[in-house]
Amino acid sequence: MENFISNLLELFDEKPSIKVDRNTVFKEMPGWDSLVALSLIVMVSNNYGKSIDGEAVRNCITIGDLFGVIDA
Amino acid sequence: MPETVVITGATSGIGLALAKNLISRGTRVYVVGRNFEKFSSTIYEWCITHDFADLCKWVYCDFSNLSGISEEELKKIPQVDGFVNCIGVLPISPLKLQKADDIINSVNINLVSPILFTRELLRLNRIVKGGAIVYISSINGTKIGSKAHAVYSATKGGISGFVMSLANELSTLGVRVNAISPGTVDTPMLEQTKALIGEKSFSNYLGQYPLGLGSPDSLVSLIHFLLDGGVSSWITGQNFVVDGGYTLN
Repeated sequence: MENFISNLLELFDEKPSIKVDRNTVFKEMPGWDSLVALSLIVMVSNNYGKSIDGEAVRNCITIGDLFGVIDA
Repeated sequence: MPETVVITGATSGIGLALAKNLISRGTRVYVVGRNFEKFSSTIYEWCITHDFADLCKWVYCDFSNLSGISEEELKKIPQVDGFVNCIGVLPISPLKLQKADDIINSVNINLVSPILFTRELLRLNRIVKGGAIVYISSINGTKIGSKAHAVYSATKGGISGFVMSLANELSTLGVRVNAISPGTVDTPMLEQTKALIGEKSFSNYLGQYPLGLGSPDSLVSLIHFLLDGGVSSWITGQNFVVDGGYTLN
């Protein structure tokens, strides 16, 4: 999970100043936009070998939800 | 009406629709590609079914490999009235996450290899005087710049620049060179976009097209027009946007 959060934070142009953990609502993080969403999809494919789409990202609320999809 | 045309990317999408259209009108088509099985199961199988097998020929070329264009194979191509480059890949990724190998592969397939292939056709004197060349470009890289399409846009912008200069260079031969920049067309390449963004986002995206999603057949008539010197003899060096009105907004 820590590694995943670290990878996620790398996707933002500026690292969010808020504390980020598994309960963070990722779409409310400063800087979250469609490009970060697409970056997330690519990062998951590159780093975890998993294929997720925009629908899957949309259905998740927290970082923990995202990790759950990837870890499934 | 062109008698003989060379087409890359003729086993799917726009190239396949074009090849079928030309062959059904009596044009001999040389299909250039690296996957003979795909050639056999797509355009050639269609030709056999419709009794056009003698109008469809295969030429091996691997556009992903800059050494994959061999003179020996190209010599199988006679002098042709036209060349249409439909081959392309669509790498979708924010640039900072894009692997170098993927970038290089995309540039090779979409830009460098078409240039090298064109060079060989010209060097081997395979395009008749008064012939025509058409490259499939894209609105990305010529009219718009979508996020996560930087490399793709670079290749398509490159093709459009190449077309302008080459058109000038080949004018003394009467060979016309033009590009077509489509918007989103319903081809196998589109599946990648759908898979990435999901059905709902894709549906929202299509809502931005005043005339809806394009089909490969949306482009075939224009390509045919540009190949036919009888009707487009004074058109060269141009980029035709065919996008269902997308860039109006």
